Amino acid sequence: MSLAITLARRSLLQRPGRTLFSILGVAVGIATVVAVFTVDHVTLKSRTFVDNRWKADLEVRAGRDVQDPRGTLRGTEGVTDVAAFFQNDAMFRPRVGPGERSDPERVQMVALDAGTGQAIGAYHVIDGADLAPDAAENQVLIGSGLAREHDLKPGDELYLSRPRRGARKVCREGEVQVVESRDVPVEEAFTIVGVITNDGVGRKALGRIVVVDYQVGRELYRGAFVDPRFWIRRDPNVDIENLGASLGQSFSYELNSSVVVGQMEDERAFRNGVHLAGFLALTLGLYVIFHTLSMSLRERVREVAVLHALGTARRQIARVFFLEALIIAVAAGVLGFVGGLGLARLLLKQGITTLGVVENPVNIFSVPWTIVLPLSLLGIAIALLGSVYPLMRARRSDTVSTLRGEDLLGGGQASLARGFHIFTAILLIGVLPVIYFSVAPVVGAAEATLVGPILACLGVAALLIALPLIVPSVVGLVCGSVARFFERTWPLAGKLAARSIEQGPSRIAASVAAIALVTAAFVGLKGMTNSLRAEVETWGQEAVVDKVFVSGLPNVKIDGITAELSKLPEVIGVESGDTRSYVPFLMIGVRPGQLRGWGPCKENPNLIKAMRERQGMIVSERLARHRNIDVGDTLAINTSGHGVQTFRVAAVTDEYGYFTQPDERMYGVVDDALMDRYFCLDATTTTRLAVRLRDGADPDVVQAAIFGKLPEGTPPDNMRFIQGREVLDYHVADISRDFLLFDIILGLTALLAAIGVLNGQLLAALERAKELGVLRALGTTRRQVAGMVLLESSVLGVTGGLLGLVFGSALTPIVVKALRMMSGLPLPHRSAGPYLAWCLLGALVVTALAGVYPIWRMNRLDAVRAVRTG
Amino acid sequence: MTAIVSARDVYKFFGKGANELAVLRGVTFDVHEGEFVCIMGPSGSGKSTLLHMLSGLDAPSAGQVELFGQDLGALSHHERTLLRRKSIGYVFQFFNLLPNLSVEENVGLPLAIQGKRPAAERPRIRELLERFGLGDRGGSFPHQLSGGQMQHTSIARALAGGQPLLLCDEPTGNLSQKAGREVMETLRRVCGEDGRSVLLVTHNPRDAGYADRVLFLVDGELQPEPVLNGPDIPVETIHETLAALHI
Repeated sequence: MSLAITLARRSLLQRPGRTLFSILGVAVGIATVVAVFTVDHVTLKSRTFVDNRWKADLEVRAGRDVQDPRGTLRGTEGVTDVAAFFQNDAMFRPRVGPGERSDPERVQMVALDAGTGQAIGAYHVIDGADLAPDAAENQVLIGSGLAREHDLKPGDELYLSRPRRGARKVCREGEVQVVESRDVPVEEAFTIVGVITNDGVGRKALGRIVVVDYQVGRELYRGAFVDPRFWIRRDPNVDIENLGASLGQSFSYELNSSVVVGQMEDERAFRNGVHLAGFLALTLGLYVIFHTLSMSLRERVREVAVLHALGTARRQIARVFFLEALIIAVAAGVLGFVGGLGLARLLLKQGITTLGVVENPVNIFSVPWTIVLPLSLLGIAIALLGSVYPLMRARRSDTVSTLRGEDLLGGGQASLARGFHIFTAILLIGVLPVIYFSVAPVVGAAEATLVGPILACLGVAALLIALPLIVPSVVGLVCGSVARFFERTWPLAGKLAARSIEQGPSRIAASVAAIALVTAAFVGLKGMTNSLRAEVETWGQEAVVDKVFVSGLPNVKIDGITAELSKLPEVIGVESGDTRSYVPFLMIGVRPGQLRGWGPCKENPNLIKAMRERQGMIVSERLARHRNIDVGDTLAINTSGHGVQTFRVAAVTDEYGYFTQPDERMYGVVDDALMDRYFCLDATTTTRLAVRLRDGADPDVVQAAIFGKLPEGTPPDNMRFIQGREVLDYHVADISRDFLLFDIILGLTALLAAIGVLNGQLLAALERAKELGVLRALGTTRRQVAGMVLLESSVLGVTGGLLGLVFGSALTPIVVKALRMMSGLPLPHRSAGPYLAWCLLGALVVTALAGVYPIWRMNRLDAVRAVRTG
Repeated sequence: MTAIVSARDVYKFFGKGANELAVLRGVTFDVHEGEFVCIMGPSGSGKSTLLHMLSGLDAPSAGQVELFGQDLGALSHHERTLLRRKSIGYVFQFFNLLPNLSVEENVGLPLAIQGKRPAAERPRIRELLERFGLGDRGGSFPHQLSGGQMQHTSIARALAGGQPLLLCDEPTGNLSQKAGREVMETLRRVCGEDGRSVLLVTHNPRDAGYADRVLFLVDGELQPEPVLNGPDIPVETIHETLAALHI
């Protein structure tokens, strides 16, 4: 063993650069995958109540005849837990100094059983604590938008009330009655116990949201209509269809709680994507170590021959390589594990999670030992496995030929490279997908359909790995030709770079493949985010652009303000935003006549008639997809006092009904008279408007007109005017923020690719030490050596980059299709666009930077030593 | 005297069919315990190939090689390796020191290969280094040595394991005259110590002069005559013999 220790130790210490970059290669790969799974674990954990971990399987609403819905649900076989909730608007007023009084603002309110919100994944407390179930005081959680806007933090106080209405009508026992007295909502003081992140319900209304206990919410809304619903936890042993059938007798129900909790399908797609990117990094890290060990073998094959001549048994030689690989792999595993946890912590501190970027840092931290430890061990094991192949070849090396200075490895270098790439390709295509699906199991039919696209992605990746296997000489020839092209400009650098490339086509092809793989991943990612942006842009062009969203109005008469605004030549329609209810999707009442100026109602005036006379509903694209409904289909809506009413889908469009609060894309628009009739909602006054302008109109005219209309001309402090373009920009920027984690992971894979290129060039330089020594002895300057390496690096970068653009462009439709399948979003196919140029430039920069260390190392080469000893 | 190396009618062919090339043709000779034997021949005559056959690194196409009474053809690859480890010290023309190891570690390499603990063997290694004038270079690396020092390190390595037979492949081919002379004097000195034998292959008449017996290999055939007996064979005599053999 002392022989193995001596040789391995010396080999590692005498080649510190190679050792360092080999360790770094595996470590960065392991660190990335450890970080990804740790961040994901913490992301989920932070949204899960530890002592009562459950997710809502069903969302139900009690029928009118159910006296004790909670008790009835609890008594239903297969139901293990129940949480009640409702959501509505609330008037919020921060506490200010003594003698002062702040103006109330309208915010979104969710009331649900205290202590269950995180369990069902509805929100995530980022600062402070969750609502306590038996708190003596009124407690409230606030959204990050509200916290930021008013500089609120846990411990501060605020006031909440239900919105004040004109209140000429109230709903009692489901019957509309006229009440003479004015409605005076009770204002209650609340203590802020926590701030929630801008995901789940926290994403609603741009973070201007409050969450209170269900009973407290009911108290706040005493005397007003609320639409209570229940989330229930199912006994996993009970079939969900049977449970649904039992519940269906007394309750209306729907599977999953995505309406309130957020877009779960999107979240799942996002998390899977992050996992996949993490595995890509691990794969690339292992690719680097395979490549490095393989090249290291070529460098050391003479050493093996000498040892053999001196009587070293094959087993002893194998032990040397195995020990060396073990040291590298273990060091890399430890470094990667610790580094991965550090990286995870750093990302969480920056608010970067596997469900997007949140406003505030995630301060909790927990290590998913059962995942990251096996993953680290897996990385170590595969790195060791990567050493097996070179090891087997080392055992087979022909000592006599080597001592003669002939063919180094029996079958030759090409054979070594081919075998190495076959080995890698098998690992990539066969082993890693199995591991991936073991760690990230396929859940549900939607994700089962993803197996194909994921395997297709891996196939493309495998093709890149296989490229050096199949056509290394072609890649070498192409790169060599590019390098020779520069001979005219830089004769020496061009000639030497071309020679170097042509002498090691396998090395070149492997480096090109690594660069191409990362570039392809970047192109795929950018294509995917472009598709998401395009989807948002398409939605935004219909729903928000050319609109001005006004909120905080002092309960103005809808007809009055509409008439005033309609006088403006720039205004073609006004939507009021207060007449709404969750049924369980958001249903908004508008004046149908105001819609005639644009969109489908302009093209087909019968739609307005349908809304007024036939309970027609215009549904948003997302609701239509979610419910799988189209024009002519009907929707049964449970009303307050009029039983279940049928609405007919008149049109599917996003042109009408969107408001920045609650920032919901799944809604239906009806005649506001129906909201008055069925839900007793005041359809005469409003505090918010969406004003549709003509193309290119100045949005400021709306503000000027409203200010002119207000009494005494003084606007309330909390009145807001948000231009549609701003809303759209926010949503587009949201995509970039959410995908920051992908950029970081792919940045790490770019680093890995750079390490791979660097290792390749470094080992090639060491192999060519004698040649370099001769060149230096003949007067070649350091700048000329640097030029040669830089030219070679750049050729690798350009070739790999271009190849990556091609493969990435082929990969993009597959990725977009996968995302479309998971999220249900109508994602259009988009290329990476201008990012193609940036990706190519990035590939060039990464490879050029990868050449810096080999340049430094080569210029430090002792010419005399190189000439004497090689 | 006991024959420690015995080659009988050894043939070695490279290539196949029309490209077949006979590098060794019916080579037969012995090396005895304590003997310094030199095989002379021009480049390409098959000298190095013969050494590879004798050390068990390569197998003859025909014929028999016995090393310390064991037929190499009857041994497995692993058994040949173990026999080589126990019996043979190798000295190469290009030294073949491991560049990552210090001089002391290179010399101690055969002991490490034999599974001995370096710390326990350190006095022996130090003694060898002192003996070859490398006492102050133990911590140096090969590239920090002169050619002569590298070859002395190589010889020290060949002796460190205590193997009774030294196979030397053109050991002075890469050295200056002075350094070459020193190396040959060293080899001459170590021959006979503890019954150690040396088999040298070279094309250098000056080196051959140190041997007890000089054989001539021409085009793969070992010449039955003449056989020069030494030591201290005059260089002129060797030159004349080479001329007579048209080498």
